[in-house]
Amino acid sequence: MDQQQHLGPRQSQDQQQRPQQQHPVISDLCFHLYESSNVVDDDDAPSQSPVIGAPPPSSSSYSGGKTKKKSSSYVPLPVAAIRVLLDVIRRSEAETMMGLQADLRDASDVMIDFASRGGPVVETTIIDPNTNATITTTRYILAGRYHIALKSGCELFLTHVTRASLETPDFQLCKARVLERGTAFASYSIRARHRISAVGSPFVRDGCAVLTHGRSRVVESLLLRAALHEGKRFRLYVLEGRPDAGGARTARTYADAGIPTTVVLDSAMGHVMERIDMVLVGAEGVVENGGTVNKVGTFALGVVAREMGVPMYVAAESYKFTRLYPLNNADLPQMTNDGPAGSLMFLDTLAWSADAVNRRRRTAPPADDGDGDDGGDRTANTTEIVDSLRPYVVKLPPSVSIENPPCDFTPAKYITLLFTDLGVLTPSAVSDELIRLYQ
Amino acid sequence: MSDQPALSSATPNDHKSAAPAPSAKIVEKKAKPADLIISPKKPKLSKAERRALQESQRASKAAGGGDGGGKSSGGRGVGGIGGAGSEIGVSLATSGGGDGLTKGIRGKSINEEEKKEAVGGDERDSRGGGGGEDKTVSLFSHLPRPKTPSEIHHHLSSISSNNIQPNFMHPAIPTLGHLYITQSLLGGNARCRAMLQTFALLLQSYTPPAASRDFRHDIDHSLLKPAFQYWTTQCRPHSVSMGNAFSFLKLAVANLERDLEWEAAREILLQIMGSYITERIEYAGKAISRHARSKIHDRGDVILTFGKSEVINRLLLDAAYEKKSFRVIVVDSRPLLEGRDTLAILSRAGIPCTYILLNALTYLMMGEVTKVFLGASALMSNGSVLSRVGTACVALLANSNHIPVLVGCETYKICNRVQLESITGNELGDPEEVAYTDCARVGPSNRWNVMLDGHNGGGGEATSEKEEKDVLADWKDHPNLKLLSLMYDLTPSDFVTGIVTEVGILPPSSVAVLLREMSPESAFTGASALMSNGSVLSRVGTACVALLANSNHIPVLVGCKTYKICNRVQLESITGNELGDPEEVANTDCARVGPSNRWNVMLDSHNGGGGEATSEKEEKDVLADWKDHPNLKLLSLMYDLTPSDFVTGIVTEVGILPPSSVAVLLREMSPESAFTGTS
Repeated sequence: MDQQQHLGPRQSQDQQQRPQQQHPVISDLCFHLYESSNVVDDDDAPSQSPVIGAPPPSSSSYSGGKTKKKSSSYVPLPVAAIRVLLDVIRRSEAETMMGLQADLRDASDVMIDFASRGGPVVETTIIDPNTNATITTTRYILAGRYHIALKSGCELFLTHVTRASLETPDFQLCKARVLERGTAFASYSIRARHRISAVGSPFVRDGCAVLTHGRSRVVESLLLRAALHEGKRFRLYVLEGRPDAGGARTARTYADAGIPTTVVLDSAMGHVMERIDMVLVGAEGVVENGGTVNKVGTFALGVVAREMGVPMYVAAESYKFTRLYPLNNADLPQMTNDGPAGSLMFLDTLAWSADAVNRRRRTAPPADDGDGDDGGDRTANTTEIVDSLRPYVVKLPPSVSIENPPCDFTPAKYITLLFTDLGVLTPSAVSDELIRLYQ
Repeated sequence: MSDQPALSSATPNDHKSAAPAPSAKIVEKKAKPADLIISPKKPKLSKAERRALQESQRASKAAGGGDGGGKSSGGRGVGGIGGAGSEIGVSLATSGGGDGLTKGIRGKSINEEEKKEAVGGDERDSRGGGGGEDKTVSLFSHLPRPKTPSEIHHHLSSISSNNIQPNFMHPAIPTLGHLYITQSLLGGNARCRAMLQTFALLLQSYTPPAASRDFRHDIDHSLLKPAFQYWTTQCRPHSVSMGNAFSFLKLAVANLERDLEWEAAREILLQIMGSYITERIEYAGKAISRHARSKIHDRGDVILTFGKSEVINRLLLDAAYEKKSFRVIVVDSRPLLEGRDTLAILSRAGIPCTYILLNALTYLMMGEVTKVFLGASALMSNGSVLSRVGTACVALLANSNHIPVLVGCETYKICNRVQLESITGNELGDPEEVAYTDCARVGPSNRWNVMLDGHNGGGGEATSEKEEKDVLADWKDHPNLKLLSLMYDLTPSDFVTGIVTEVGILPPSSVAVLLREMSPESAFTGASALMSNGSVLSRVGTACVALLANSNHIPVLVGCKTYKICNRVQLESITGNELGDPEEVANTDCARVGPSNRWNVMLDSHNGGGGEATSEKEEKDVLADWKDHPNLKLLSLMYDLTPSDFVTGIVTEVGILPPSSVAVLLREMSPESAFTGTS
């Protein structure tokens, strides 16, 4: 770093660029989040390198012709972030390594800031090839949760760039090398999921009962592999996953694959635990002490599992390893709870569903299964449902404060093993990896 | 009982020589911690007077010791028992037990104790020596004996009159030695820094003898080694930090080029030493402060610290400088009371502080404290922390209250040793410091003690004039009393949430990795059986042994060459095992004569129909025809899997590792280690 001597010309340039830079980076991020879902959703073949050269569209909406039926599937945020950074490198007019690094740091700061604030990513319009209907989805980035994963991805990439800059003094060569490796890294990261499934699926034994929490692509692919490729038979319990119903949503994926799946309330984790043989969760970030940061409830799950002697496995890609050392949950990076993620609604769903049953009986033959919460599948019904829900919302006086932490920290001692693309690791090996990665 | 007067007549002598000395020493320490080279009291004496005093002390000590020794080798058996017995008898009577049965039992046990004591006494006597020597506590007898006050005094005089030393010694050496011995220089960093600085001083005044070909050898042998030996053997055992710095220095000297000019070599050495101090100590301290400060939240954190630690003080000051609002609880303990220094430093910086003693900790831990920051003297490679005695207690309490414990430690204090308890690598303090109960003098418990002493009369000696003195001033004369003062204790890594080093905050299990990454020479050259999750595959039965040992808190070390590490993870003994010949289980050679066997035979003959031809079995193995039994299966396994939880350490050729580090080991060794994409 220090050997890059000419630092002068860059700074003015930086100031010019800054104001416009905000938007492109974010829209790039959104673009990569969605674009890649088409490219890399199923890749037994080596993944095509993500559209190099083609400039990302400046508009925030993206319509693709060859959409998969899993249109909500997306590329992991950190990987998308790395791709954004690659784009930044391509477009960068910096003449020196220092300049390039500063550009990258700016871009990653913008993304981290964006993710840590939380909010809607973008409205994405996808044309469904079957029905030709346009589906618009808005995804929310929940503050805190994604922010950690994104940060780790960016940080890893930056270290990697720095390292490259130490190897050769020639800027152009260096830039080319960074690009080449970065691209390799991005595609590697995508393949990581498959490697993790291969490593972790043997742990799913025939006839066992698995409990999962939250929505994790890795866990999904691991369990599906165990069920479909390896023909294992196991029962699956899925925690509902308040407030984003992530668990309930994944339940469909599993049920489609023929795995006997049961959705239980988050609060029922203790109740079902005695039937469970293993707990498998994903992670937003794996921190340095071997613990994980994941959707809220994972900590409780870990404690219950530990008490009941059930092993808890975490499946996570190595780019989620973060240089973060939370001591306890109070020590997690501060997560803001304003924005859509912050407001919690409390519903008496029991009364509502009882009434709903009555209503259905009174009115019409029921629509197929009634759990219409999957994106915009039944947009027509949505308003109706919302209206019918309104009386069951528990109204709280303003004096009652609501806390809605998006994620919690599970200390290493509750985690049995981590399934990563580096192999099966003990929690303490995470720090060893991190030392190696960042030193 | 009859000997009692004789014993007590011998003791006052001892008293007068021994008792004032420690108190004088302590007073002197308290009074002037900074410049101790000349004690405030001593200069009034002329050299001759001092010599005389010393001589008389030595003489009186020898006389007292010899006297006591002679008496007890003959008479202690009776005298000691009599004394002890009567004392306990009195206390029994006063406690008003009155119960004949318990009294009988107690009397019995007392007798046994007395026997033991008598034996112990003989041993001690046979070891000879005066009052001080027989007071070593048996578990810690391997540790070097701390310097007694008279020795320190002797040492003091040897500084002023250098001619006692056989060959000339640079005055800086005993000067620093004196700081070590009087413990006016405490703390790993301070001691190490002072050592390096003194070495720098020595190097500056050093010129290699013309005769020697290789000045590197000469520096090592005539400069570095004698000084270090003097400090460690004559003054105080060296800390890990000093040891590490010293071996670094030796390495630096050895790495000098042979045909270098001395002047140039000196410059290089001085520069190396300077940068060691700046990088490994000063800069490391700054970096640790930076890392740890990020853990102090500006929302009214309450941070607890114990004793005095340079790193911790620095980071707290830095945090206060950043205008963070937090409160500090300084925990202190006797005898060193180092926390007072911390308290002074922190409160001067305007940090709101609370000062408590260690015994009040339980209450505070339960409510207020949000984080615990501790210093360390050394970091063992299994992640346990060697630190000032009392630290383990604080860490344990914090851990049981789920309060995160951070240990600040520079990487140069990492020791490649593994230590499992506080006994092996500890240091004895001066027991007088435990005896010197300055603040206890006025306490009610003390008054009670005095009363008690007055009551039982015969047990102690000359108790009446004790009212003016320390209660324990004459502890050396009590036959059953030993005082133990330890300098360090070992905090197991379980109690430590994170270790803050200059490379970042790490889990204790990563210390081994750090050690490996930092020392260049530790490349892995090279596992039936080390699974990558740290469990051990071994001969069947091992798991059972390990489990038993573990449940009895006995450390389990597993010896294993690294080539036996397997990159599989195995969770039970079923998957990757090997079947032995079941005949081996059947062939119960030794079982033939056992009673259980006879029972089996009987059973067999009873149920008749189940087996076949049971009658002729009496001559054969019971299980010889096991294959014919319809419901009988024999299982002979070769291996079983010992979970890593039961293993304390794994001894490999690269050192003793925590089981959790096996995965790293594996990765380091395998050439195709994954994740080539990034680097």
